[in-house]
Amino acid sequence: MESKNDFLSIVKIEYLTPENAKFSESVNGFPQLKAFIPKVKKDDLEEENASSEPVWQDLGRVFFHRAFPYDNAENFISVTDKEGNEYGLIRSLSDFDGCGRDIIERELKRKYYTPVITKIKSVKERFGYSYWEVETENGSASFAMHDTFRNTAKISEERVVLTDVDGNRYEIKDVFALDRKSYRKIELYL
Amino acid sequence: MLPRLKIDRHFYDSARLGAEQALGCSPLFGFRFDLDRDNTPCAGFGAVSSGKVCVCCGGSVAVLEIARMEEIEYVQYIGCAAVEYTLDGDRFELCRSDMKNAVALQNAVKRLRSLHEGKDIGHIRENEDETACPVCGTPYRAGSKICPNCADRKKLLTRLFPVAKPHLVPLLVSLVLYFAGVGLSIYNGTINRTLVDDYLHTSTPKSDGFWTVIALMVGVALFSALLPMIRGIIFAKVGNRITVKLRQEVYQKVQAMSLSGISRRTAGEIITRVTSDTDVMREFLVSILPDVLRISLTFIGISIAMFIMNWKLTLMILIPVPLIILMFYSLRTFMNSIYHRQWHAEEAVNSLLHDVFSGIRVVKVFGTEKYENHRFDVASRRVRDISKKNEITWNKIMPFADFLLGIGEYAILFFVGSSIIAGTSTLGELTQFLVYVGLIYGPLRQAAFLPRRFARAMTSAAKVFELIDEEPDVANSENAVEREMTGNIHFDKVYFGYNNYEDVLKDITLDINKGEMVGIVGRSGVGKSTMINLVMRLYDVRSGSITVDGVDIRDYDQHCLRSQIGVVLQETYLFKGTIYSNIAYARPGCTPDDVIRAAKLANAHEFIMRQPDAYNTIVGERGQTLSGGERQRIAIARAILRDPKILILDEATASLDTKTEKLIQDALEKLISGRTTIAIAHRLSTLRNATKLVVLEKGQIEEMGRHEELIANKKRYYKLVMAQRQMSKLKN
Repeated sequence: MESKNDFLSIVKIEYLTPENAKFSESVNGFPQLKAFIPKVKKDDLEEENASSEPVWQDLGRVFFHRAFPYDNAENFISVTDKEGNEYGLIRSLSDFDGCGRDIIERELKRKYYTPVITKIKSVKERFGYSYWEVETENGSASFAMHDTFRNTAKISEERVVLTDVDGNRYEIKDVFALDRKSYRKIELYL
Repeated sequence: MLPRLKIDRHFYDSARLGAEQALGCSPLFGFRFDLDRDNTPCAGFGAVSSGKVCVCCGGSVAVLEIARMEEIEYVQYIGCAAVEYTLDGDRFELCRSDMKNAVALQNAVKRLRSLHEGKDIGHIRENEDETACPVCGTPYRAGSKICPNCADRKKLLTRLFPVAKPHLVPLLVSLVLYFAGVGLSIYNGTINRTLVDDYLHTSTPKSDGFWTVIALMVGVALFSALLPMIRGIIFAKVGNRITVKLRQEVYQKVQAMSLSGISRRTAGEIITRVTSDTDVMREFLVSILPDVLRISLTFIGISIAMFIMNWKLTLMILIPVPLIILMFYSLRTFMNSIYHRQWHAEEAVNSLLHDVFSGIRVVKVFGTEKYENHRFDVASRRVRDISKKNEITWNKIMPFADFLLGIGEYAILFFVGSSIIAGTSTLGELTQFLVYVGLIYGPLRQAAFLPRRFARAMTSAAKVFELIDEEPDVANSENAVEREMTGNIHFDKVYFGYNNYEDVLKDITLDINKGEMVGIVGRSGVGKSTMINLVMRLYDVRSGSITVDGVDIRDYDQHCLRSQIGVVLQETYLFKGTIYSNIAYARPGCTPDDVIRAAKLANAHEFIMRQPDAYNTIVGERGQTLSGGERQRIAIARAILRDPKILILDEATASLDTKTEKLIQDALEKLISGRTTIAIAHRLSTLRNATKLVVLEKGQIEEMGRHEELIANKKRYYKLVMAQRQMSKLKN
């Protein structure tokens, strides 16, 4: 659908597609990118009036950052340099296939580490801290949360992300799909 | 073996052994990590000697020479972190871990860098990097190394008693009153029996003493009424004192908390804790606890009296009691969770209200009143649903409990009745027993409500104590000094970040001499305000130090330090009160003469006198609205009155029109002279008088020098100046 907001059309988003972006992997397993995009300024002190014509350039190691890590993880993935300056956006992971997609997915998996909780064995609360014993897809885990209610992010009706005192995240994909005993334990914080 | 997130210590021990063996000597320090390259859990250990680092993970061992490792860096991912380095021009990953070892990895990186540069890292204590209790795995609280699980075994209850301690005498008096009350009730049963057996239901009624019996009954009734009255008065007095005390304590705690501690919580939540949670705690001390006492005393006293009379019958009556207690005990956890949820829901409504009314202008401007109404509806409906559900659950349980309680009375009727028919008991005995049953089951009925009241009180107490227990992030050192400062500030290799992994300021070394005016320049988010927050010690530096006159600011008494620093911020907050009180806020006990002088210096006197109520004009919330420039000048007057040795201006003149800016600039110039000044400004013209300009970029000092020098350098500052000139040309 055509956007009615003319105001927003002033800005153009640089989308990376298999046509203008070739991802590869360095010998040490870091993702690299060759892209056909306007000349990238390495420093904002460089000359302002560089041409905006796209050229093929070797950008070296790149980093990924999800724009909507919680509710749209597979789409709108920013590709940046080390400092977080954006080269472009991947509109959808499904735009890519084969090797390129593998590289992106592997790197995303390495960047976002969120064990998925499948069962809650026990939750004890003491002085504002709660101590959790859970079963995750990666095995059993125990962690502590401070200010439990606040650190329980409700992404949607059924999806929850818990952040523990260290900054680890644990996801529950569907609280209603948990067994009854587990649900009873988390219900308190929903 | 299945991968496990929770890795037993002995797996680490074997990794540690592997790493240390490969190292070939005893390590300077070690660190754990628990993920492999693809984020699969593993037990890993890194051991470091002065020349080598060795990592061992899942059977594979790598040994590296630290001297060859360039650019050793800590890389923060989401939910995990890694250490990377460059070897012969290629980038490698040393190890990775989830966040529980993040601090250890950060420290390891710092030390590895030092070793790489050939510096001595000093002695490192075993377990220094531990963030969790080695005994039980419970994480430490920020800034403390005491395990809340292992050391802090005091239960909430024992925490509450010290609160009641100063009121011991009145509380003891009321305890005596309770004893008297129980005695009276037992005596009442005996009188009843005498009345029935000797006077009413007998073939040979006594002729004398009937009046005495009636009089005794009246007397007992009178005392039974008087005792609770006296108790009530005592508790009202003690209770209110306790509430006030608790509130003061919580409030003072909030005031003493560091900025980061406060900003972690919403204002609504803090308000709830100061007001209603302390109230619930008072209720616990003066109502719930006495009730527990009264109920148990009555129960025990009457049980004994009944036992002496007829033990068989007493057992009959008491049979349902354990059942009821068992039932309520099993309900306790459940009720606890129910009230927790209600508390959270109510808190959500409070916080929503606070949020919306703080941003009411945005709501109005965007015309989103309907949306806000809807949001509030949803939140209050949630409270309604939850409390409805709670009440319903409660009402489902209670009638059943009532029925159970009733069984005892029927048992008495049956057994005593049959023995009366058989002629072995008297009607008087039945009456006495029925009185006792009433007395014993009455309290039990109330006892049924105790778990719920208890749960509510405990929830509140936990929240209040959590706040009171919180160690301030920024604490006074043990022998904090109070001294006059002259105003020589020195930043020495300062590193700081608001969180553990991201440094906002890196390696800041800067000298600011007495009387100097230093301007801090840079784009937003670069750490300018952070620098001044550190000078005011709203946060503590992570490493390095800031000294004033050669003394580390962490060794100053906080109050003493801040009392010698004056601040003018971009957003000026005026408290509700008069202009006078807002200016005088800076120095309690100053004279009107001082205030007027300060206002004159700040170019504020004139506009203040144009107000109908002059210095008595009410400002702040619901007061007279002043323009941005006027508020700014009041803030400057406030700062002037304080007569600070160090003056901090954070965008003090931004967003003002040129004429007002000129006025304020003039006012500031008077204030600046002879004082150490640190000024932040986007508008570079504001800083034309600065003796030194510091250009920050990415948390580091990129350039430093006088205006002319930096212009001649033709680097970032030059670009900024040129860009702004172009902008102002466009404007004109």
